[in-house]
Amino acid sequence: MPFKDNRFARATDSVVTFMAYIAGVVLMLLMFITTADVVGRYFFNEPLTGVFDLTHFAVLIMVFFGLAHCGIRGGHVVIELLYDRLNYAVAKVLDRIINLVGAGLFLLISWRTVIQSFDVMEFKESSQLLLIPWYPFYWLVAFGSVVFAGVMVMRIFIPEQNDEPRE
Amino acid sequence: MTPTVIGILAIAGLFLLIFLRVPIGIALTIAGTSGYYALSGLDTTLALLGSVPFEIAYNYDLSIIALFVLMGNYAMVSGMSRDLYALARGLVGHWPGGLASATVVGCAGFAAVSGSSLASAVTMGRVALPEMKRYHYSPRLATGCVAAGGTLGILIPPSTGFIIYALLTEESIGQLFLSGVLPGILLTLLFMATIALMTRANPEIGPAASRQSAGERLRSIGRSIWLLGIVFMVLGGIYTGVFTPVEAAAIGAFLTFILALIRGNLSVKTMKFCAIETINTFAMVYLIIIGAFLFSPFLAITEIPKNLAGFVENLHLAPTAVLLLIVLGYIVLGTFLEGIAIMVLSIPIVYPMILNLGYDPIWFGTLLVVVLEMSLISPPLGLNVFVVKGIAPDVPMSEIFKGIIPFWAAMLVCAALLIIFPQIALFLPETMMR
Repeated sequence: MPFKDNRFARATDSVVTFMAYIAGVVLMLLMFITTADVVGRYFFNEPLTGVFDLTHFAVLIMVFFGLAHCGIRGGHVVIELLYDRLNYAVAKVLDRIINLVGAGLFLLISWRTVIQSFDVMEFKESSQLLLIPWYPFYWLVAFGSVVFAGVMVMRIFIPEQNDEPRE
Repeated sequence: MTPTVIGILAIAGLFLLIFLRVPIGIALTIAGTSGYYALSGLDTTLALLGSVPFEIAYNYDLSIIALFVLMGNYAMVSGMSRDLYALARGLVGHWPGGLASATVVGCAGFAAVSGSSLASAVTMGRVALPEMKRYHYSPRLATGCVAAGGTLGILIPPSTGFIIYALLTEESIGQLFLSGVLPGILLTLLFMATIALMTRANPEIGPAASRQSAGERLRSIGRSIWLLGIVFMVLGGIYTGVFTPVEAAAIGAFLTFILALIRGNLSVKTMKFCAIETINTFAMVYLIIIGAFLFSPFLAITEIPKNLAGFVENLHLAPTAVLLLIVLGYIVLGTFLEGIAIMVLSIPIVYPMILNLGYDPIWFGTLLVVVLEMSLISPPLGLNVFVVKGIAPDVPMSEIFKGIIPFWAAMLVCAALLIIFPQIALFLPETMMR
């Protein structure tokens, strides 16, 4: 766990990890229901209803409950070309600026997604078959983006403790 | 400022951000958002930020990435790579250079359950490198064949490379997957031929290992047959149209899960590990995709791709010449950028050009993936080389890069064969049931 010395950081870390576990459970459920759907279709002539719809929502949950965890683990793809030639102090400042901009961007996304959700609610947009309304999932996108922004804010203030290169 | 100037500024800014180590997805998002702001004003830009993240993630086809990555992770933690290597070793290990050939064949087998080149290089490297060391293979050949063999991960389906190409171009994932099968086999054979030529010229770099008994061989066949069966079912299902690629991914993951469970290779801990690792990879890829979907529509409004395609057309070059220039461009980009990044950055510009020239987009996708495989082992930033270095820390980086050169040449031959005989890629997609 990268940020073990700070209470706020520890709390964030456990929220983020918990979200990733939810995403992981959704992933396994997706695997099971899709398999059940195909087996039902070919062997029992009775496909599950709405798997197509549920898959859409599963992807949404996996992405937005996973982003922050991926961010905390430093898993996002970066290119290390110029960076290696900068001196350490400059590189650290640059890292903070990048995190600040990234956090700002995802707060912006979050804010606009909430605003968009009201339109979506008004137009009663929903999934095709099961008619599950979209707007709560806009909030989920907003929530995931806020947490991701939070991780980046945290990185501005708390230097990483395990600066291991990723695999 | 004209849209073209804004577009060029945005592209320059994008490259600057990427080199300053901004994650590629975020760099694309920033460049795309600023570009939209300059072209269409604040309201449009804010509206896009509120709708694109949801709309891109509310996607049926994206689930295929998560499910195939999950399948690869199950195969990885449960030691199925070991079984595949054992099988390949039993078949070709007693040839001169046979352990290196077995590594390549094992990589090809693992590539058929995993869409990632890094995962293929890591898992096969851990199994094969100690074995080659035991038989006093030259470190150069040993590390070279792992790094090169690993790249088969993105060519042999399932492949993240094809999925991203499909998402960006709206081509069929199923057809792209099938288009990678024969070139994947071809490249495996080319790698083996390379190893044979090298060991013929210089036998001490790869001594023949002991021949395994028929019993040993039968046992390794027995251990891998289930996994090979799963692979066959997944690809066969897509080819015959029995299920969609998404369903194939789910069934593949499910069967691999059951297989690992039956063998007692899955604890609660490894199950958690697989799920979380998959989610991490998935979120990482998604961030790049959302960036791509903010950036490439913006680029389309600037009309740069259209103008560039028109410009190229007016040069009245032979299509082959343009194609070769594009391939050359990719090889150069590949020396300093990572494969998915290259794809996301270049497709909005190159894809219209390819269509304009009258090339088949499925075929081009396959060629592109072969060329991107080269980038995975090109100095100075070949990711697979770093992975191999991680497993074999005692071999100097320069040795590994030297070991790669013959395999890199083999990839070039593969790309050339694909250009001369497009049927290698197109035969399966054209005969599949739709």
